[in-house]
Amino acid sequence: MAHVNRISNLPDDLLHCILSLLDTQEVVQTCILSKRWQRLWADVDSLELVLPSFKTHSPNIERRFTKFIDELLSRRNNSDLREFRLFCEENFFNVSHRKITAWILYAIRHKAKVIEIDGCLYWSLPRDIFTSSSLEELYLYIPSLGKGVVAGKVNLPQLKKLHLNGIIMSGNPAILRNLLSGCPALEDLSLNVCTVDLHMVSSPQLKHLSIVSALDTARIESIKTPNLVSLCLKLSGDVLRAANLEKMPFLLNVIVSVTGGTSFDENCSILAAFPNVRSLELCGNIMKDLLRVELLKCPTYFNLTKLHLRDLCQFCHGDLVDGMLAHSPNLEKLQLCKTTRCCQREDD
Amino acid sequence: MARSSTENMITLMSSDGEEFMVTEKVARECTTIRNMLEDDCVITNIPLPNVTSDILSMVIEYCMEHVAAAEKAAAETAEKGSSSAPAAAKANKDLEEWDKAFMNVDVYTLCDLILAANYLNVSGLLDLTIQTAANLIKGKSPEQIRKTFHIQNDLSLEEEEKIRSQTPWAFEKSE
Repeated sequence: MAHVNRISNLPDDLLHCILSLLDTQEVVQTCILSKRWQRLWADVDSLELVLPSFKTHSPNIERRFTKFIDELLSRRNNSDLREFRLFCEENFFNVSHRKITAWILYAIRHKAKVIEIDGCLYWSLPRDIFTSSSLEELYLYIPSLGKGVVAGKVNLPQLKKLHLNGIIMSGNPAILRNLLSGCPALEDLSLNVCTVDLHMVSSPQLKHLSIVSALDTARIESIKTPNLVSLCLKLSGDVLRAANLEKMPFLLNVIVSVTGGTSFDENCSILAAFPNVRSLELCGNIMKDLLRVELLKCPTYFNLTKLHLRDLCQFCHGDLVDGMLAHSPNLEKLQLCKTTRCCQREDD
Repeated sequence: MARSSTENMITLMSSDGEEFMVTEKVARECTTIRNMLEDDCVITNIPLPNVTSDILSMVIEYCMEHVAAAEKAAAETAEKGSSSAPAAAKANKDLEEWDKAFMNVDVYTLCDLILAANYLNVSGLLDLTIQTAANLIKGKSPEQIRKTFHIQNDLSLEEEEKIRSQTPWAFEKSE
């Protein structure tokens, strides 16, 4: 048949596309398939290096992982990278910090557009990661951003997406401010379980903002993100109690969840910031307190079609549910919680 | 959404001379064809010398299914003002199932589809076929990969040994 061996006849760029979807170890092993495949791996522009995949049977996995990456980086062609992902998880502890730094610097030198690093023990990111002119997406699951950010040396002109998870940077409001002012093109910011001083969040061009479970955090005073399209805040009442969100006319999808903490200040302003919202989810065990403070000040949500009030009970908080409905003349779908703890308690 | 009766029909001709009549909307799923149509809007007959009839008919089948799914979703949105999330999720899942069944092909057809999707620039189909090929490689030893794709090993035993001994770091995992 004329078909025989067709995959090897595909042009290099298509084979690279296929290889870029594999674990980097599997990519390298294709070098012995045939002569055609011998050097194909060396130009693959997306590296995904996963320490746990070395676990299967082995003493010294960290040492072998280190050797693998060192050899790989020194033998691949010197072409630019698109993606560099490093997953060490808990085993970061046993991989030399000097090595990790060298690998990340390699990725930056090779103009990686996407960098993702997952590892949990304490070490410092190389400063150069915050001055890369090619970086477009940065995903970090590590405890510390290092000294570069604190010193204010952030210049990421192309960065569009920044997702930080588990990072500890409390006590210094300058950190977040430096980060945001050094990323003029940022569109998507996610702070997930970070310890961060949120005092003031300001980013004029930001489109998507998510702040979830900020721990041990200073109170938010203001959020200035006038071009936001989607917002997700899942925080404690202590963080949000005096927050003042500036008007966000383009904001369409909103989730606000407040759990735990004390009562809200009379002049806090959260729900009034998105008059054009289309889909709104309000939840958390003290959402009722926020509504009591803010409901009268709320605008009429003419564009709101979907409303989800997860922790409000139509019997115990009927006035709040009715109040929200009165502010939502064009609602198409309302979801209420079916059984709430407060009613169950009364049943008992 | 009612299909307009005056919708343009376009004839695509495969490398072996077979003609396929499709609506302009289906043809536009192929970015390569869309660009031709934008350059010259009176084209009604497009020869595709790089695609055989059996592969072209599959590409058209894929495009028709995806156009129909998009039209259905748009019609539902127009009817109800907004699409309901569960219905949209189900429609997505149905289309995913369809894609999966569509990818139940031998590796030769798969490789031809990759080339055709790349040439015609059908990004959804290219992603789907590339992912399918990657899934066929994942978790396999080099020998199994050769077998799956009928790759003839033109390396001599000595050459293969030499590569292995030069790059022991690459093969530690499987040994």
